[in-house]
Amino acid sequence: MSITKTQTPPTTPVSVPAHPVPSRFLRRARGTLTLYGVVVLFALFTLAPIYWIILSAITPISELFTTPLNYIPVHPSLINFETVAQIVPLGQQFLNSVVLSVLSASFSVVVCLLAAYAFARIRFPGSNLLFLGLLLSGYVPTIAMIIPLFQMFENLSLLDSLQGLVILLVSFMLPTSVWIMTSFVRQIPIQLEESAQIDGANFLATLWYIVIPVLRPSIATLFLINLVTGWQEFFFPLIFSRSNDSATLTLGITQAAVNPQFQTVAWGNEAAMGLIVIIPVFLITLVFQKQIVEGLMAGSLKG
Amino acid sequence: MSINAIPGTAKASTMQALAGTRRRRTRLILLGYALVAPAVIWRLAIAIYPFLNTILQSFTNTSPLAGTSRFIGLGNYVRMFHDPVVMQSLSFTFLFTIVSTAAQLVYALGIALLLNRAFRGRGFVRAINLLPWAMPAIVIATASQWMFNSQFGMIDDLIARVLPFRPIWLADPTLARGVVILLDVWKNAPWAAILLLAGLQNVPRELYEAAKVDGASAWRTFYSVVLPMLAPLIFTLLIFISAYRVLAFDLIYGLTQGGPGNATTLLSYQIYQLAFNGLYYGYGSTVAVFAFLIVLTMSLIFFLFMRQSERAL
Repeated sequence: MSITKTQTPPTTPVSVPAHPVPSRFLRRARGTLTLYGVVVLFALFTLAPIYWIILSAITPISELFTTPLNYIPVHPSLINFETVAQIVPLGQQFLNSVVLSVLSASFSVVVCLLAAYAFARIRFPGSNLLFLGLLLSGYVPTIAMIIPLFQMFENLSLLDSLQGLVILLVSFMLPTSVWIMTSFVRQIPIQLEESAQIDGANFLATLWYIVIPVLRPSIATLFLINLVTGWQEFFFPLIFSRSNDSATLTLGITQAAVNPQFQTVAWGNEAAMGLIVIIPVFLITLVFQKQIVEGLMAGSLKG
Repeated sequence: MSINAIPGTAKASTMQALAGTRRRRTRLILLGYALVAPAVIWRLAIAIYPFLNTILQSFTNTSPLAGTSRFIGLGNYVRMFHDPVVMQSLSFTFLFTIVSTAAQLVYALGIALLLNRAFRGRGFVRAINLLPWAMPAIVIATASQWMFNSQFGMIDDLIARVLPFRPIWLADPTLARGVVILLDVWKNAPWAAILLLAGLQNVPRELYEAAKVDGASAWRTFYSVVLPMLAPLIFTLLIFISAYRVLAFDLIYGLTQGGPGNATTLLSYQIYQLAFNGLYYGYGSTVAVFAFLIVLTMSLIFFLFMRQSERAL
């Protein structure tokens, strides 16, 4: 095997063994070329669907149905956005999405911060059990609790309300949030807190004056991750929203699909709506890229 | 406890000091419970309690449509195993979970290895890797509906430019399943890739250098040095990703609605259909309990496998 491999092809008998320097250069060049080839392929694969959405969103619906396709918009226009604005209550849904994701992210971060501080710093009976229980409860599929949740929220008149959706979403953010936040708190050198306690500060004061300021970047990171998660939520609004009082932009996508004028599935509308949903979350993701990646990584290291 | 150990000759002041620390200790413990209480209560009320209710309800024929709510023992379970639709969605759920999890891990590892290399534009590539993670699944699902359209979709257009045929993706059971899995991988692998990248960066540099000194090839270094270092993380991801495959819902809802036929009906979508279209709360709960048991069994098997292989290493 190895012998046949090292044999040079008969067409290039001189170049390889005689000149080791150019061969190494060639090998490196080939390696670099392969590397950049893979990079380009990866970028294309990742960006193609996103480009497709942008392209369809700014192409008038009559021009969407061409064969072969135009990959550069011939007559870019905002007509699809205008149509969507007539079909879908964009302002209300945008506000609902913002309120839902901001409130869920805030509550989940506060609640998990308190728990994480206790799990990381206080020894109390059953703390390991509770920690494990919280984590493992995240493995119970949402679908395995959705029916009683629906009945429960029906009885509590929490259907079709943003409060109800926040309560649901926070619950489902908690297991991973507690995990990530606990690993963040454990990374703080404990001497900081010890020196504060010698000075007579009690535990809660230590949390407020020492731990939270040190943790501020981590808190922001987790907030961002949960914000993005909340913005993407589709399943809960689908089941618990009954009107536009609590409908989110993700629900709006399914509303935009049918164009009442044409009675057809209107792809241009869907694309425009999709773009409206992803622009804010993409902006946040790209601006706070570093923090988000750090936060996602923090969860893994203790795994 | 420690006070009992102190001989009676102990001075009153030490006794007092000890009682003081004990009081402080009790207060600290109470504080601990108070701090974890919101999280624990939230999860008990909005996850555990409804989950237990699902189990109870799975033994009833509860349906607000029929107005029934009677205990029927294992009736629903017997019905489920004879329900061809549920059994078909079960088989696709297994296929989807296995193929998508495996593909995600392999692809994510590839991305992680790529992002761990030094090259021009790495910052840009790392940034775009986050975009599928941030993209709501419902958006990618609806966009794919026409991206995979045989006449006007991008995929078929690109294929038709090279090959003289246009596959009708979403009308063919096998192709539709493939598309669902592909999109699931596209959306979720970047997240796993970031965690694996963190793992890669934790591999000590000396190990690479040692492998280099020993004359190991790149592949050999990866296989014998990097992979064993990543193994615990990969197993954790395996458990996490496979458990969450059963939850996949948005993609099916937005793309195929379970079709063609029931070819792409995942259990989660099936439960949604039963509970919220058919209003079979009892029967839907039964299938939901079944879905949970699948996740539990899968996670346990992977966990035991992980423990075993850790001992072997």
